[in-house]
Amino acid sequence: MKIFQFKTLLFSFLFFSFLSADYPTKPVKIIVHTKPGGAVDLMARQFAQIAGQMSDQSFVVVNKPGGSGLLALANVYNEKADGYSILAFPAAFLAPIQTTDIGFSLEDFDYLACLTISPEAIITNKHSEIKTMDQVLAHAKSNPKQQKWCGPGSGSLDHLMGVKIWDKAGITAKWIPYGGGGPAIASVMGKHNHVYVGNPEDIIGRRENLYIAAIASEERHPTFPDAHTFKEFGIDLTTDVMWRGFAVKKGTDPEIVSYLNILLKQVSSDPAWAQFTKTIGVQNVFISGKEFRDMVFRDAESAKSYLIKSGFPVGKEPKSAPMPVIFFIVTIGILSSLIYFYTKKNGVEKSNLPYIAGVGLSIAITFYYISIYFPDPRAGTAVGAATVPQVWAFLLTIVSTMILYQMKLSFKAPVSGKVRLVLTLTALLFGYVIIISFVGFLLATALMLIAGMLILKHKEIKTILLTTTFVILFMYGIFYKVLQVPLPTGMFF
Amino acid sequence: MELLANLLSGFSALLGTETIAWWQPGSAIMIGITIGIFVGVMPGLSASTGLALMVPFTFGMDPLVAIVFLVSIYTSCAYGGTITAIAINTPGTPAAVAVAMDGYELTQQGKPGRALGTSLLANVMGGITGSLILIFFSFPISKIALKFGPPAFFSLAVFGLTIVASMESKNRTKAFFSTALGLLFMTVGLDIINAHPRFTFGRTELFDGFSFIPALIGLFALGEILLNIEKDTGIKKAVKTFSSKLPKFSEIWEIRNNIFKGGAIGALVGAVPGAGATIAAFVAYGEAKRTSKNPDMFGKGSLEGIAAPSAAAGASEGGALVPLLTLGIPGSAATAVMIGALTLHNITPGPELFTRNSQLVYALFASLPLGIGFMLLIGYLGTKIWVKLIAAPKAILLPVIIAIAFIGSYAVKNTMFDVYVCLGFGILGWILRRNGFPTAPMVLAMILGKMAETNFRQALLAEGTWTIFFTNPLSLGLLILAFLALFIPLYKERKAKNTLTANRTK
Repeated sequence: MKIFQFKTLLFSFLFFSFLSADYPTKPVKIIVHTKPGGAVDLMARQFAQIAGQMSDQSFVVVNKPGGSGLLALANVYNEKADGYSILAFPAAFLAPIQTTDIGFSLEDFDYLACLTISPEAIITNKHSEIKTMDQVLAHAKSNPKQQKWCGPGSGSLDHLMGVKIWDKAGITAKWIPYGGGGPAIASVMGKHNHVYVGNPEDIIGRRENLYIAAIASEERHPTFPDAHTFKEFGIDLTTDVMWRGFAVKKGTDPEIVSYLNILLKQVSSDPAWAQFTKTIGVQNVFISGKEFRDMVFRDAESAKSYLIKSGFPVGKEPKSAPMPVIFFIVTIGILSSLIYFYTKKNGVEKSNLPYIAGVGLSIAITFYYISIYFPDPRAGTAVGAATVPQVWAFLLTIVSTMILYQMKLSFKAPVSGKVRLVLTLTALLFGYVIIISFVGFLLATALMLIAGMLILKHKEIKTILLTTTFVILFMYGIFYKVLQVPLPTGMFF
Repeated sequence: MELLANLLSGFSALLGTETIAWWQPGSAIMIGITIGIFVGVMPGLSASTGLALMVPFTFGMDPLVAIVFLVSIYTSCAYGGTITAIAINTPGTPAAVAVAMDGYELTQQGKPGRALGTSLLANVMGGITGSLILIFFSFPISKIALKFGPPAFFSLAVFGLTIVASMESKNRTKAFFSTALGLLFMTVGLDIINAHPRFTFGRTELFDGFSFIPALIGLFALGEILLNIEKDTGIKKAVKTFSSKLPKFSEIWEIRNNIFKGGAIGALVGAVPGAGATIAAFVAYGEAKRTSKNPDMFGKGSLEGIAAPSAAAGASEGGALVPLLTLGIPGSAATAVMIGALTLHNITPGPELFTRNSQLVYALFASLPLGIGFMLLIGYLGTKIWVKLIAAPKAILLPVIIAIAFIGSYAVKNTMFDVYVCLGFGILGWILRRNGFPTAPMVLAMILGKMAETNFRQALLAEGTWTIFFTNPLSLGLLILAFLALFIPLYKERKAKNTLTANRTK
């Protein structure tokens, strides 16, 4: 073992110093689209740990969660193509990047290598009547469109995989989307749904409760040899895998790309990496270059066709309400002037309450107006995207009207104190968030603290400076250094 | 008996094994509890963010030490959150919103010590209740938790929402206004069933809706600061002297039923995946008010109103470990992070854990009471410090809270957008509060709105009929509870009014 590691080190040292002497000269960021602790995050952290030992520089995982992963994609797209921002790129990106108009596409990235794959699988409840693939198929055929399939998200790869399975197996069923894999698996364990679309490793730790009905691969799975393949049931699904790899922005120096590829190859053959992939139950592979790129685009094409098949807008702008902001402002204007003239005419005591109710009413009306343009509910469901917002908007309308109706009664005017001081401080806070992007988080915070204390009329300059210094050091030490929160740096720092 | 033997082996594992030095688990618990209280105290650092930021530190640890460390952080967050809720009306965690209602009131009366002491004791006792339930009943409870399907979850959310009616008896219309606004705001983002972007105005940042924590900090921390400045209470001079006097034991003994009930509610609601500490705390508050002999004291600094939600929040942490350990399913965002962290240590939570890594599970169980004891100590010592801190000049204190609120908002997703959200909700919170609109119902609505809609539509999609909400026994039971929670306070008030007028005519 030791000799092996030594060899690896020696090899990588020679190779890297020879290949490009000027990269990397600073820590390399790995952008991850989940919060820490997510599956992709775990992979990236493991990679960062091993790669950091092999390279002169450290690899730092930066989490950019949100927007179905699009925020992480956008983050790398907006950085320079200098190889210092690597994107952890899972197959899950393929659906959202094609359904959202975000100004860039899969073409804007260079694909380094894919390090782990896991076949798609369907999982059932071990104690259910509908457990084996045969039972699933028989039940679905005798109850068309009634069998309940679930998984994380709508229009997600798991959803599209479900649609593909129905297509290939000649059955019909319902898709019940969940907020995440955990709750969806729980729903199968609680027999609320029949089938969960995921990967074989989802049953680890729960083999007493869950059963793999079928997996999409040519051969039986090495870790789950009991699991049947779709092929054994005559269903042609052999290449559907959930892969996780790495990509950089297109236009990155080819030398840097090959440096990273060699590094990825090194990591994937490291024993610690092998142990990690075994633990989480995925297969350890190394697919790079054109082969990886072809896989990305092949799966993207397949995802696209099933997205269209399930009615998702691909490549077309969804209809949306024209000028919602102007609509909102006009509504507020009309309602406020009505309230103003009414109170003036009837001599009602001066109060803010009717105006707040008026704004509430405007918000309700605007939300209703925007929701009119939401797509119609899918066939078979009475409730669409617009229904629930409209119910809440209706509720807000009633409550606001009730407050307006009470306008005839006299209101107790709120204790009006130093409103001007509040407005000054609010203006300071607006200024604060604006200058963060120019001078960075810490300096902006220092300025805000000093200005804030002065505005609030604290006289002792010594206390102000001491407190400010202490807070900044605290933030720098705890958040930036220890917790590694990537605080925004400004243009100048 | 087997359980006791297992627990004993768990305790002995905490004193060191062949691979773990004797001091490691103990110090992991102590450091974990301290970090947890710190994370809870910091507005903007929620349990899930705090845990996520600490995960990388556990890489080098032994799995047993790591799990004990993370669980200690997790269980003490709830207590930390109540401290700032009481001291400066800035709930460190969403569940602490329910504690702030009466706790901050007491602080304003100059008795923060009473409020902090009650909350600490209730939290500790709730924590013990939660741990005991976890240790002895985790498997039966996990079976009940699995029975919760979309219809039952929907009805639970409705039940949670109806608590607003009993929470605010003075300005009910205003409370409903806040609720409706919160519900409407929660529809922003990708619609879960159709993945259609709703009210996002083309901003990818809004796809997941408003980040909850920044919105909460805005509404409470910033809103409170702006209100403070406007009212000019004690900016220049300390108007009140704050007393750090703790409540008498007899006072706590008097409200023992509230604490016990709060603990039981917390452990049960916490065990239902997806429900969590916040709902538990609000349900416990509503229940305490309903059964109280002095319901009029609620909102004016009632000890019962502090104890019940504190106990529920403390117990819900133990409850949320039930689905995590027995099913391998995260009950909350924080436990989801823990699953990821455990996976890295080659431990996959789930029923097999009890057979395969039983020593680890029982060491975890054994660590809970130790952690709670340590929390009591730190909490007791800390009370005096907190009281001193809130007596600091506001001109210094307020800007510092703003800075911490902003960095906390940023750290949730590492994006500036959340800082804007925090600022926006801060101004909204100020406007609402200065006009007498309570903001706690808005927080409740923001937590329950998404749960209600998602499960409502999942249930309709799965069953295709409206009747499922009434034919599913769990769902029906919760709907009946919701109905009662909504109309009993109204009925009682009407009755009280009638007797009042009747007496007057006499």
